Amino acid sequence: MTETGRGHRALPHTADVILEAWAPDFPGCCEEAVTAVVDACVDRSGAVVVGHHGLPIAAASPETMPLDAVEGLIFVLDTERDVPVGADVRAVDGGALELRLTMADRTTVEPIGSGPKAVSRSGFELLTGPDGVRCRFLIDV
Amino acid sequence: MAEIVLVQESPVRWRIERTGAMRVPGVVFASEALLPGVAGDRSLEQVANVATLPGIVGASYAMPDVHWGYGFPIGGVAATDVEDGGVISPGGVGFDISCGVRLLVSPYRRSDIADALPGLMDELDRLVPTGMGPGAVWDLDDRQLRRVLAEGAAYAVREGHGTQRDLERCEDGGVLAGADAGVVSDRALARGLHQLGSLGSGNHFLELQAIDRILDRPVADRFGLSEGQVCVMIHSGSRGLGHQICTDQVKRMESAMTSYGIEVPDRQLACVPVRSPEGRAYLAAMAAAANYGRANRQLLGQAVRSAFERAVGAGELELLYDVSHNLAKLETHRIDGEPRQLCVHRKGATRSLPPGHGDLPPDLVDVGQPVLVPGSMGTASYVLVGVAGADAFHSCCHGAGRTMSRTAARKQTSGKALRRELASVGIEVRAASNRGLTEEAPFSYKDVDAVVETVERAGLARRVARLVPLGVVKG
Repeated sequence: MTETGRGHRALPHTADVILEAWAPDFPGCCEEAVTAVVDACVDRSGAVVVGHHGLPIAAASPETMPLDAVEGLIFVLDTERDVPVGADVRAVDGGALELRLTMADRTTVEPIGSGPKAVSRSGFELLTGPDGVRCRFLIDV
Repeated sequence: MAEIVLVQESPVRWRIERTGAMRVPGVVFASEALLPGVAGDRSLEQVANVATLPGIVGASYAMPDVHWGYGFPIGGVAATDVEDGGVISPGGVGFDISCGVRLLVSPYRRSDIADALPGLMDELDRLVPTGMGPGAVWDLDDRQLRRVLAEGAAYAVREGHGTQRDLERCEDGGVLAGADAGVVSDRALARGLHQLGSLGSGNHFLELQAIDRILDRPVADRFGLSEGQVCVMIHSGSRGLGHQICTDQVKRMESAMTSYGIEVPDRQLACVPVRSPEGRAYLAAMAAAANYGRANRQLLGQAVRSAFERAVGAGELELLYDVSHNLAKLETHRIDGEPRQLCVHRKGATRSLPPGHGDLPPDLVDVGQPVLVPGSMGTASYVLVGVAGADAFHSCCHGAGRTMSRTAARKQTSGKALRRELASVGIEVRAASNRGLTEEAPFSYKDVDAVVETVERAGLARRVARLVPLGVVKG
């Protein structure tokens, strides 16, 4: 890994968006993956937080859990009146994760790009190394 | 990664030679200038990957607007022989199942609405929900949603949202048979409840257009098109519900695929035999999403009629045609002279029926199918007509085709500059997001004039009318 600590970034794709997320541990990487999607579609600088929304991410192979977390975010974006503007991911018993989304009033958040509608399983990468965990995935917009 | 050996067969047709696990060659319809060559665009590799699918017949085709997708390229066509182990792949349909285009034709000339244009655009902006999240012309309850999934645009019309003639001008009469809401997940249903009659975001749009040139007058007369006429083009799909169904089904197929001994070079090409429980379930779920997509465009069409009524005084717009460009259909085609039932995947490709085909609306049987090709924002769009003797299982391109990433497009312009530029040529813009607008800047796409010219030279369809934008509502 070239970057240290934790973070995320967008990479070019002809029609859609490739996102990359990294963190020292697996829950942190899932959290950065979800935050990467949030940052790709909304300007949260003026967001007024109104509550939280919890989603369990069932224990599965590590390879699918970042995608499952992002799918959870997309579902909430599509169905709730309030908009997710932040994420907290924690490990719970049995290898499962708990995704806790910070929700803001939709009128205080500005859409800044094409909304994410699905996450592709094509080209998904998950790497674990001495510096932590990194994943790369493609969002359909 | 497949090796790409490209052989030019004509100025507008290229063959990708069979190598490795490819069962058929690839065929790319493109002029030299339109061939995907952008660094990082892997669409030709994807054409070759599709050629490995079990049961594929003929070739793995790419239309002139081909660009990089997931699994299948966007602008890809592939057919598998159902009775010969042919597979169905959700990746060959795409996330936005039955995404498509509808064109409404108004009785107005461009000059008739010149003064009313800003007010009309404001009404369209107000009546058509755009952008991400919930927002609908018709908020549904669970029972209504299930009827939409089963009956598509026909249910919307029965409930007062449109006319019987609308249905006659929709592919499949506005309802794809075989839908089963019982195989649709709770998550997909929840995403579908509050989005019926909404544009969405990304490359979806609603455009007020005027016909600037007629290229085939006899066919244009039959389609009811003339120079200067005002039309409305709608590009949208099955919204979150369709995306969720694709997501659910790819997962299901990935785990089932190995039990059929199928291996694919890309996870998004996950597939199963059409004649398998999983294949049948996908077709039933896909049909449900297709019906949602058709009902969605029907509702958007009704919103357009309301906007015209309020801003111009009358909302009598006639539907020319509504056609999907992300779908798999069971169709009969001749292979080596024999009629075979094929599963034809069109991913970012439009069905293009020739004159005489039995699935055409009765009043267009002797003319051929209207093929709707939107260009990029601020450029031109086209109406074409299906022709006899076309290759690629009666298929055509679906748009201009992207050449530049969204990130790169954003770096080259701003929302403000783009609005100013479009306003300077008389195009009114209403957009949910400035950044979303810049991502769809015209320079991000191929030249649509060159794309449809190539389509015609390749014998896939014939140009009928060219349309230019007057106003754009962007998701």
